[in-house]
Order: sequence, then structure tokens, then C-alpha cells
Amino acid sequence: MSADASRPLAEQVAAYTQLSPDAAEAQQLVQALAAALDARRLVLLDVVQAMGPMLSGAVPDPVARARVIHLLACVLGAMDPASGIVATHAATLLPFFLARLEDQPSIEASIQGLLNLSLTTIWSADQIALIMSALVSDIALQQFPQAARHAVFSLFDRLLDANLAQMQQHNDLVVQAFIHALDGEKDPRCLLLAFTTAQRIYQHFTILADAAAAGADPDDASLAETLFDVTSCYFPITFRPPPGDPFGITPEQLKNALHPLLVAIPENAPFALPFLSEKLTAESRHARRDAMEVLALGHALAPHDVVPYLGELWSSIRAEVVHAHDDSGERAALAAITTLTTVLARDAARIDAFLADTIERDVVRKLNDPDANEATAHGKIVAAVMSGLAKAAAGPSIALQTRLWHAARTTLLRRARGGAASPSAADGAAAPAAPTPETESTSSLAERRAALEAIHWLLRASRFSQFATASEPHPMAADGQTLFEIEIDALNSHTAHLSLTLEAILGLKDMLLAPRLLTPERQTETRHVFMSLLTLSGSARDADDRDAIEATFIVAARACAEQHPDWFDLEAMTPYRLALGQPAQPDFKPSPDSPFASLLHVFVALAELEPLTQSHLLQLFDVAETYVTAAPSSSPHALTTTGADHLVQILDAVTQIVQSRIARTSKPMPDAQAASSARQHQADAMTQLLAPPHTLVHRALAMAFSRALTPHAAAETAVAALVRTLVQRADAAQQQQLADTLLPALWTATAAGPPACMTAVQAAAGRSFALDTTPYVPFAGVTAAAVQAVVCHLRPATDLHLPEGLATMHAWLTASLDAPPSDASASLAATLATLVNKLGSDAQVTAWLSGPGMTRLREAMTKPMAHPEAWILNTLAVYRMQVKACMLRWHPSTEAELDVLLGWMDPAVCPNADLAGHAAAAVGVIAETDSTTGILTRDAYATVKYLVSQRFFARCLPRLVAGFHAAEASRKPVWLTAVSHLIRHVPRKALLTELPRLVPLLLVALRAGDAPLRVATLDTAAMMLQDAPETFARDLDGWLSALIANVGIGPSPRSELARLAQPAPGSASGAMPVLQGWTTMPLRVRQKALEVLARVPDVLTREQLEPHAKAVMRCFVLGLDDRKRVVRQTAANARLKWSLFLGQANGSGSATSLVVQPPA
Amino acid sequence: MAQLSNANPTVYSASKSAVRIASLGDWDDAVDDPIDAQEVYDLVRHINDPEHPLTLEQLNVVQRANIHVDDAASQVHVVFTPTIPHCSMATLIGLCVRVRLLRALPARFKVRITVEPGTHQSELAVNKQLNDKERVAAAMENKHLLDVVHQCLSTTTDR
Repeated sequence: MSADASRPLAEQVAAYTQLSPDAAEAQQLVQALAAALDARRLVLLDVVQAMGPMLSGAVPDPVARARVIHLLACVLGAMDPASGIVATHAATLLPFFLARLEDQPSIEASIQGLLNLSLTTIWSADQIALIMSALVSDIALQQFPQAARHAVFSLFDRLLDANLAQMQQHNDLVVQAFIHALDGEKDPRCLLLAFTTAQRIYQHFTILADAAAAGADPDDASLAETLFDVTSCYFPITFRPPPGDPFGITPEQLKNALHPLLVAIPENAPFALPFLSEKLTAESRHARRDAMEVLALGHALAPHDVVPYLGELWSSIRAEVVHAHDDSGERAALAAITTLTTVLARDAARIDAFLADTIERDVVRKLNDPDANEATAHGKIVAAVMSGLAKAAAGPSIALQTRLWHAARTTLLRRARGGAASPSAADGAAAPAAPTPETESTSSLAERRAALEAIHWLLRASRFSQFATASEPHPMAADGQTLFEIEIDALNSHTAHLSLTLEAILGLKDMLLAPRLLTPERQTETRHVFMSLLTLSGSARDADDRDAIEATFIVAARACAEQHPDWFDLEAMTPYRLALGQPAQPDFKPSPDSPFASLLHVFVALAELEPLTQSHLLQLFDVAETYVTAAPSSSPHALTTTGADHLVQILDAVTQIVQSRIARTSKPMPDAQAASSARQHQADAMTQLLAPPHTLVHRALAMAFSRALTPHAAAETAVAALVRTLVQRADAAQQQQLADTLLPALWTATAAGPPACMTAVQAAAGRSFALDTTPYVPFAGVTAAAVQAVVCHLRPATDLHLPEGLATMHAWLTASLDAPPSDASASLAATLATLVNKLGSDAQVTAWLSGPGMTRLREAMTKPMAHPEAWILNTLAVYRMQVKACMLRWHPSTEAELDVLLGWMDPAVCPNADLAGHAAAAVGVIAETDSTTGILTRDAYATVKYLVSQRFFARCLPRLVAGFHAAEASRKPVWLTAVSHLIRHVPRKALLTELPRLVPLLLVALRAGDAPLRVATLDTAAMMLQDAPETFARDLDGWLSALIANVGIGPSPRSELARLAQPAPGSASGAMPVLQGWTTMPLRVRQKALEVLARVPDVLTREQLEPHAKAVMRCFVLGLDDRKRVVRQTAANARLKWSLFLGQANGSGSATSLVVQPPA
Repeated sequence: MAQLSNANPTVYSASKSAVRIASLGDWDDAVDDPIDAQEVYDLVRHINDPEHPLTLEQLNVVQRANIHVDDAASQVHVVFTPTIPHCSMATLIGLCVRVRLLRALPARFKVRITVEPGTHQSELAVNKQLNDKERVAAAMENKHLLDVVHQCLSTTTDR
């Protein structure tokens, strides 16, 4: 039964009381008892009986009593919930635990026992009453540790889950018990749970505001008031999580849980509204913002409760909108106005009074205010009010807006024209000429912009209008023409006043979206003007203006596209389509003045809207193809440089749209069903993109092979990136189809060119671009990048049409060894390595490794000095990828191939130290499994064996360590470099086990390495301090002296330090300067060494560090006067931490005494 | 516990403008970064108030504008503002600022710490205490006082 089943149960229980709760033996007993209870070999009452002597007082030890109750609680928690607890046993245990709540030392264990018992038990109403009464009367909960308090709130949560109906029968008792538990709670973990529980209590229980109605003394506070008091005392939330908080509770979580409580029920209104009203006048704007956020949640409030406080609330909230400090404050204020309007709209008389006496009065006054400062804010207020009316489906919205517009239109229109009245305005005033930039003063410009903004907010407000009949016009419809003219005037001012132009762009959008504002003809005209707006950026004064116009247009266009996606079909946008390029003529050269990049940004932004993704993607690719088809067959250079540059931008935009689409459907989903649905959605989308007969990926590949791109490397790279993105996301069938089209013809390509693979791809794509007619060079130019993009991202199961391909691969490899180094070397290395990595069996890999190409490659590698340096470095690039491909699939030859590479570290093989350094760096390339290039990664479907990084590390590290020890002094740094590259890519757990062996090397690296090696070593030291402090402590002397040495001094020390670095003036020549012995260290090394020193006191003890304190504190003096701020800050932090740790007044080696001694 | 000098202080939000914007030059060894008022402010802003779990920055006791630094002449002048005119903690706060700067600034600096004129009823006495080397050294000999200072400084690490 238990760890020692032969002993009687009572003895085991007695032994348990002597054990620590975390002891393995204690845990074993708990598990054994739980298993026995699950298997019905024991019943709970046996366990209780075995505890008898400890409980009955025969052993008058309260600690032992608490421990046995803790044992019982743990056993209940460890039992399988499915096995259940017999109801009669649960009914017996309940009074047992409740009785123990009166026993002070046992309370914590009893609460845990109650919680665990409730996990599998449904209580009756009477039992619930017993539990609640006990919680109210027996426990001073706040005296207990956090775990016990958390268990109480978990108990409430559990009971609400399983016993809601029974709890509702004891409505007041439950609420009182909860209030008793919450009162005075301070721990954020408990509070978060308690607030969530409080929401359920508000939702499911009746909480009366009148104490008399609840049968209590009328002078007492009601339940509603008490519950409000115990929750509102946490408002506003000022919690700031401590650094590195493992529980991850954020202030936002607490706010989101607390805020709805304060206005959860109408009965809270008499307490909440004066409370919030007071908070709205607080000094802290965060408190004011939070108060408004609470008001915005107050949909449960009743109109008659709000009215007495409306004046105070309104003036505070209005002030927040008018003098908003930030967007969040303004948003909260407008949301509060919307909610208050919605609440008041439930009572027709009260909403009418609010609108007429408050809104209309203030808004009309401010819209007509001579200084116009607050016009915009009041426009926003109108929009918020209209939104509130719309939510309440209240009727007076149109009437209100009509009244507001008629009261303010004359002023607003006049100001929006810059002081001039409109000729078509209904007031018939004379129309002075519109102001010119020269005559318009700054104040009138501000007025003009404020008026425009106010009008636009009124237009936005009208989108919430509830039209009574189908023929009811928009309140501002009579001024539609005037408004249009005003916007055009503002647009035309873009060279002088950009802010007006930007506002007018948004204004045209608002006019287009305002219902029934424009006649159909005017609507069409306005739309045409709007659609051509982006060309404004072509004549912007500078790049900043162009960016601002572009960003504003994107905002406006997205808003329009959400309602009218058909407006933004590329085919329908003729001016833009033309601006993107119409290279039908051979000498086509896109105008450098056209807002080409801006257009693409707009298309990419609009393509994020689901209905436009597919069409924009394909239409943009159509445009890209026109660049290639326009290439004249007679010209060797089909595209101008500008044309190629534009083509690159279009292809980048297409890639961006595909990636953005993938990212949208790859976001983390809340549950498995949503994730599955998103995956299906993504698969559908990609299937659509890649669907036959003329798929996008074939078309992209055909473009890559076209002659037009030959002289333009950037265009080749761009199209290869698109191919890679598409291939990677294609499904297995689509990938196989692509491989069938491309690879058989590619393997049999000859120098007769153009190769059959290109024509095959063109046929599959339905395109006939001009191909390069020059003799085909295996694996060069466009072929290299495009083939790499395809081959490197196919699934291992894809039939690559080998083994005929193996012969071709050897031919490629041999040809590359014979040819001069070229840009295609990296592509060749990646492609060959991927093919080797994805070969079906190890035997095939062995055959490949013993083939002619690899044999020649290995021979070259064993004699690096027999070849020119550039050539041998290219060879190294190919070879290291081969080793990596073998390593990832853990082929038996991996270690032998690695030996060839490491042979370069031997001066007898490779006297050139630079080449040896490249070989050391290659170790890092091989060890890296999450390559940023996307080659040979799991995302690219590479074959990666389980724990391959750990295996490689385990095999490689001993060689490197042995190599280091055996090497002569001049070569030791190269071995250290290889070690640093290796440990950078090794999983942390694997590294920790090897650290003791590595410490001597790391210490040498800290003393003799170059800057990157020292920084990498210091990173390892920091990691060791955190995860293996005992390893660090074992060599504490060595580490601290090495760290102190690395603090060093900067290249040109400041003032006093500089003086100390020189012999004292007047001293005998040759006198030692004070800083003698300190070496110059690079910035990163100094800073990192101090950072590691600062971490030391966090993990080691005072006894360990005290002997070294003096030396460490002295080295900080150097850092405190460093010429770089980052070093000074790190030194100050480190010195303070050591001082606090040692508890000294100034720390030994006071900063006031500059006795700087060199490191030991 | 003894009654608090100021049981309900006004809390201010940390100003965004008081944060130094990182630049590429920060990591260039060839560029000299002189010690300036912002750097000294960053050293003292997170010191905890002795009475409340709030920093001197949150209580507006120290402000960037009230710190004056002359790097060339190696002089620092910190002017701090007690939350109330009869604040009994003013000397302790000043002492915390002095200890922090003593430990974090190069020894060449002469540090002067004063109360903002007109904000404390014992302004002269506090100023005299804080700028008297011997009194400061004597205060640091007091174990209890040193513990309180360390408590206030403990919030300034790892910032």
C-alpha cells in the first residue's frame, strides 16, 4: 500500500507528522494512500481513524494535529476525481473539517481539505449553510498565509461551479461569507480570483441595497454597500508587478476584473456614482481614466440613479475630452459619454432633458466659440452621444443632429473656408476669395483646421443616425455641395498646409461613408476624387509629407474598403493601375515622380482586408508580369534599371501580401476548434493561390527563368523569395506537382540550352517569356536562386526523381570546383546540402559521400594551402553545409567529415590562421539548427533527428577541448573560438552538464580571447550564474579575478583615471602609473563583465564573497568614471548591489579613495 | 507603528520626457558620454520613500529640472522637494540621495544636496546636516539608520 506497507497505518501516519511536507517519503505516503482509496482497499474513515491519537488529544501536540489534517487534505487532493468519494464519507468529513476550523494551527490544512473534498462532492443546501457559517464566524482569514487565503477563494469558485442552486438558497449568508473573506486581502493572486468570483456573485445572487429589506438593522450598511466597500477600496489599481514576477499577474488583468464589479448592479449606483464622481477630480490622470473606464461599463445603472450626479459627471468627463492628455484618456471619456447616453435613453423624458439642457447647450456654444479651440472635442462628444443613442435604438438622434448642425453650420462653414462664406451656402452671404497661403495667418489656419475636424466628427456622428423613413435626408444634406468644395479647397492647400490636406483626406472619406449625404452623381464624383488622392504624394514637399499623406490615405481607404471592397478592385482603379506601370512600349520607363512606392504600400495595406487579399495579390502579379512580357526579344537588357527596381518593389509587395495572409491565419487561437478552423482556412487560401492550371508558383518560377531578369540580381532575389514563400506553404500534392514539372528536366539539362526545365515550367504556367539563349551553365544565374528556392523547401516525402539527380549533383559539384568562385556558390551549397539531407536512406548518403564530386571536395579540403584563398573559402562554404546536412540526419560519417574540417585548426595542415578561424566559425554554422537563412530547418522540412544538437555537442566538445589542450599557444584562441561558436547554439540543459569541464577553457578565453570571444564567454558565465551557481562557486577565485580583469579601462579613460594612467608629474622617469596593469577593454566587454559581477551577489552567499569583496569593490571605481554611460550605469548598479549585499556604509574600498590596484 | 508624516501623499505619474532615448552612439566607444543631469536623475529617481512604497520620482520629491551637473568642474547639485513643509523624513531622504550618489558617482564629484527653498520649515538645518561630511559619516555609523537607507536604496538596483 505505502512505501513501507508492512507497518500499520497508524504508525505511518504518526511517522508522517515528523516529516517535512516536501520530503519524498511524505509524498510517497500521500500517493500510496490515495491509490489505496481509489482502489477501494481502504476507506476514508480508516485514514481518519488512524489519525485518532493525534486528533483526540491523547498526543497534545497542535503541530502534529495540523500535520495529520494536512495529510488527509493532501490524500483527498491526490485521489482520482473519477473514483469519487462516497457521499456518506464526505458528509462525515465535512463536519470534521469544519470543526477543525476552530483549531488555530489546523485551519490552513482544514481549508485545503474542504477544497479538495468539494472537488468531488455536491453538497446539500444545509451543508452549504454550514460551510458558509463556518467561514463567516470561525476564521480571521487575513492572518493566514497566501496559499490558505487562495484556497478559500478557490473553494468559493468551486462551490459556485457545482453547487450554485444550493448556494442561492442561502443568498445573504454566501454574500456575507464572501465579503468576510475578501475584506483586507492584499495578494494580487488572491484578488484576481476573488474579483472573478465577485462577478459571479453579482450575477447569480440578489444583493439588496436596503439593509431593512434584508431583515437587518436599518442603520447597518446593506450587503450591496458592504460588498461595494470591500471591492472599491482597491480602486484605482496601482499594482506594479515585481521584476521577474513568476505569476505573471498584470495590472490590466486586475483592472479588467475589478472595474465591472463597481457598476455591476443598479443597487450600486448610490455608492458608485459619488465615488466615481470624486475620482474624476483626482490629481492622477490614471485614476481619472480608470474612473471613466468604470463608467463606460455602467450599462446596468438606471436613468433615475444617474440624473442626480449627471452635472458633476458631465463637467468632469467633458473636461477630459477637451484637455485630453493622451488617447487612452480621451477614448475612456468618450466611451463613458456613450454609456451614460445609452443609460439615459431608456427614459425618454430624461434623455430629452439631457440632450437639450446639457449636450445641445454646451456643444452649440463651443462650436460657435470665437476661439474655436474646443470645437473638435465637442464634435467628438456629439459622435459619442450619437453612438450611445444608436446603441439604445433611441429616436431623437436625427432631430438632435439637425438642430446642432443648423445652430453651428454658419460658423463652421465660414471658418472651414478660412473666413470666407460659401457661394452656395444657404445663408446667402457674399463669397470672399479663399485665403492664399501668404495671407492666411497661423490662427486662422488653426481655426480652419478645427472647424474641418468638427465638421468631420459631425459627419462621423451621422453614421449612427437612425433614419425614421427611407426618404428622410441626412441632416447635413443641404450643404453637401458646400462641404465638397471646402474639402477640395483644403486638399489644394497641400503644398502650404499639410495638416489641412490630411484632414481633407479623412473628410472626403467621411462624406463618402455618411448615409444619404450626397446624391448618387455627387457620390460617384467624390469617389473618383478620393481614389485619385494618393497621387498628391507625388508632389509632396519632402519624404515626411509623402509618408504622412500615404499613411492618412491608407487609414481612410481601409475605412472605405471595409464597407465597400468593390471600390478598391485594382482593375477598377484605373489611375493607380496605370501608375504602377504600363510597360507595353519597349522604351517604357516608369516616372520617378509617380507615387509608386506609396501605391504599393496602399495595396499591401488594403490586401489585409479579407475580401481584397486574393484579387490584389493576383492583380499585382499580373502587373509584375507585364514588365517581363514587355521585354523586347532583340534587346540583351530587357528592363531598364528603374523598371527592374519597380519590378522588385511589386514582387516584394506580392510576397508581403502572402506572408501577411499566412501570419493572419497563423495567430494563436483560443481553443483547438478555432485553431483547426484557422488551419483549414489557411490551407484553403493557399490552395486557391496555388491552384492549377496556371498556378502562382509556376508563374513566379517562369518569371525567374525569363531572360528579362538576367542582368538584375535584385529582381532574381525578389522572385526567388516569392517562390520560396509559396513553395513552403504549398501542400504535399502541390509540391509534388511542382517537383514533377521542374526536376526531371533539370537533372537532364545540357549545355545546348535553353534547358527543358524552363520550357516545362513555362508550359505549366501558361506563359512564354523570352528565355536566355546563351549556353547553359549548370547551376548559375537565375537557375541557382530559383532552384534553391524550390528544392530547399520541399517535403522529404516529395519524389525528387533521384537517382538520375545524383549524377547531376556530382556534375554540379565538380563543375563548381572547376569554375571560378561565383555568387551562385551559396545557392549551390544550400541546394546540395538539402538534397543530401532529404535522401531516402543512409546508404544513399554514403553513396553520395563516396561519389566523385565529394571525393574531389574532400581532397581539396585536406590541402587548403594548395589553392587560392577565395577558392578554398568557397569550397569550405559547400563542405560545411554537407557536414551540417549529415549531422542533422545523424549520418555515421558525420564525425569523419567533421574531422576533415577541424583539420584546418592544425598548423601543419593549415598554417594560415585566418583560414583556421573560418573553420572554427564553420562549427557554429553546423551547430545552428534555427538558421536565419531558412535553409536546413524544420520549417523547411529538413530531416532533423531527435536530440541531434545534444548529440553533436556531446561528440564535438571533447574533440575541441582535447584540441585546445594539445594545441600550441598560438592556435589555442582558434580552438576557443570554435568552442564559443559551439556553445552559442547548444541547448542550455546540455551545456549545463558539460560546464564543469568547460570552466578552465572559459577562464582562458576571458584572459586571452578577442572581444567577441570574451563577450560570448561572459554570456555563458551569466547563464552559469543563473542555472549552475555551484559550478561557478567552485572556481570563484578564477572567475572573479577574470571578471575584474575584463572590467579594464576604456580606450581613452576620463579625467582622473587618465591622470592615473600616466606617471605622476615631476616623478622620476619610469615611475609606475597607478593604473599600470589594467588593460584596455572594448565597450561590450567592460559592460558585460560588470553586468556579470552585478549578478554574483544574487546567487552566492556572504561567506563565499566576503574574502573577494575588497578587490571587487575597487574594480567598480574604474567603471564609475568610464567615458561611456552604459558602463557607468552598470558599474553603479553593480556597486550598489554589492554594497547592499555586504551591508556596509560605503562598501569596502570606498569610492572616495581612488586606490586602484591592478587585477590579480 | 509611528504616525506617518504625510499619510496621504499626492502621487504623480512618471513623465515620459524624463526617459533618455537610446542612440547608436551609446555603444560607440569613440563617442564620449558626459555625465549630465538626466544620468544623475536616473540614479536617484527610483529611491524609495522611507514612509510609502513609492519612489521619489512618483512623489515629485526629485525632479530632473532640479538637478544641476557640471561634469567638467565635477560638481553636482541636487535640489529636492519634501512632500509637506513639516516632513520629518526630509533629512533621511537627503541622506539616501547622498549615499546613492556617493556610491554611484566618481569620487572627483563634489555633491551638494539642498531642500528647495521655501518647501520645508527647517530648510537651513536640513541643508546643513546633509552637506556636513562628518555628520553624514556619523549617520552612516548608525546601524539602524544604515539599514533604513539600504531599504530605501534597494529599489534602485536593476533599473
